[in-house]
Amino acid sequence: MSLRHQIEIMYLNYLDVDIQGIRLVRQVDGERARQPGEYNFRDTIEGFNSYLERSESPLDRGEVLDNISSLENLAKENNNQDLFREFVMVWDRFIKKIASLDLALPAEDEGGTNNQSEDDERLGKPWASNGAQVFKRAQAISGFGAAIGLLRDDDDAIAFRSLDIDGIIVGADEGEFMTTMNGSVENINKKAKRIGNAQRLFFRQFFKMLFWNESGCYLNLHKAQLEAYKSAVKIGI
Amino acid sequence: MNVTKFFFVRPDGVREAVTVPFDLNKAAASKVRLKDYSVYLVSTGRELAESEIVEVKYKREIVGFLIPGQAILSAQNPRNHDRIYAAYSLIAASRVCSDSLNGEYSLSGYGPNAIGVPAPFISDKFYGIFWNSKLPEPIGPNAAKYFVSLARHGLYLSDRAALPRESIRTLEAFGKSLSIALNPEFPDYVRKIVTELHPYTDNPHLCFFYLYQLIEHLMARGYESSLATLKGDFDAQPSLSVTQLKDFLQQFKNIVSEVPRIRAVLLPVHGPSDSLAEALLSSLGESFAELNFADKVYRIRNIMFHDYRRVHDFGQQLEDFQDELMSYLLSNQLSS
Repeated sequence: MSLRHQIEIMYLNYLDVDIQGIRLVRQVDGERARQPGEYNFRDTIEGFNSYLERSESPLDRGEVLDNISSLENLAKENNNQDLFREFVMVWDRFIKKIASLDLALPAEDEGGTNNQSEDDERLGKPWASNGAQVFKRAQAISGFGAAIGLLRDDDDAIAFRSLDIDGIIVGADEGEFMTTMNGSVENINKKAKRIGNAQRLFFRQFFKMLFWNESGCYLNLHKAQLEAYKSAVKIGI
Repeated sequence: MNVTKFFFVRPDGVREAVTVPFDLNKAAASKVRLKDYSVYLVSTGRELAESEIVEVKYKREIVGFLIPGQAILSAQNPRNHDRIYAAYSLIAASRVCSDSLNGEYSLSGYGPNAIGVPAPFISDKFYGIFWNSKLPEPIGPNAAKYFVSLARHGLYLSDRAALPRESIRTLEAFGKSLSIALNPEFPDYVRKIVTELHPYTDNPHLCFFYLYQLIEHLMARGYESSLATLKGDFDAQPSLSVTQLKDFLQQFKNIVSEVPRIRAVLLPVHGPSDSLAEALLSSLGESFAELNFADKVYRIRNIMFHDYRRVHDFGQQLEDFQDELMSYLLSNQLSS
């Protein structure tokens, strides 16, 4: 049985149960959870696992349990707290904060600009047209989990409860942030050897910059995404 | 083909489910007849980005796709909404997985020639999926009828693990489409040189040797047609004066002499190769002011074959020169 299956079984009771207004929904055919406060159960499990493993890489299919340390980390941290519940709640706070910032792609960018090349058209529509769409993705929540896990390894004081979600600012015009964010993801899609892995790396770097108080981008969405793109390319996509 | 997953059987017998992304547009897949398509591995001399998906066209019609292995059934590929691309991707996935059911792994990352972490689909190689019904001749496992079109872009049908040597033909991204055309008939050794020997040889001196055999082939081809013309003209004369006979002898001499033959083949002048030939000759202490492009190539050839020790230490210059010259031959003389 894979690690993912084990963790899914452990948290099955959270399905369709309110966690302070949050619902984890197991949806068929990969449809996204679209209502406010709804999140895809599988994506959330992957994000939580990324926290445990300190890695944004997707859970491998059919892998037998070979990562005992992840469950040991879980046992160590759980400590009478429901860490998974905390993870879900802080992610929900983050998404709600993002939604409150009214981030939207300028209208002329939604369908592509007049200068969009045929190559750009073939690469599909923009990553997101609003803030919630940017982050309500498996790649983003996995990046979040991995980033917080890595930050916590360097500083015990970092915990889900300690993240200053309310202090997050855009750091630029809302449209500029969305345009640049979409541009970063599109460039990653064009250059990456494996698009999914590269997107996850980008988001890991994004959240690391966002929540690391010495990054120079602390709580600044725009600066964090600019730095995340540069560092992801430098690491290797 | 309304499929949500394939099954790949590993050599150790473990059955692995390979999920088809939910957003892969399957609208065109139902019209596919798998037997109309061939799937081959296509190598090039560099790593591929997942987004480097190339439409293969014959006379402006799509007849296939080149799809990087890491893009096959990738959930994040931005091309998943494209029903034509999606159909070709499914054909490749179907072929690789169905082969595994029969213990055949030559197209997969578990093949005997695969390197890296084993996986159903090989990264950093293209899967070439070709619609044979749309081509005048099927592609075939060594692309004998189309290899020049592919080699011109640094692409080779090959299941070898190693990638071909880097060349100027693969520096840039391939672009969204690639046109293929039937190439002239060649002796099989020409195809082997272009697709199996030259691209996989690291030694620049040996590369040049292989390349020069292509020039020799072109010279021989030119010789046969020129000789046939000359014989025809000669036979048509009822009688010949001494002057006329001298003319024919001069023409015959031109046909059999190396310099006029290579001059006839290496036209038009190729600027980049010409400059690199001059740089190499200069490094070898050779004067070249009186030489034209073909003469310079011939001079380098003579030094290589008759005075190798002089050129032994100029591997990089020779590599740059022969790389440009090969591109020139593939785009010109070998294409027609």
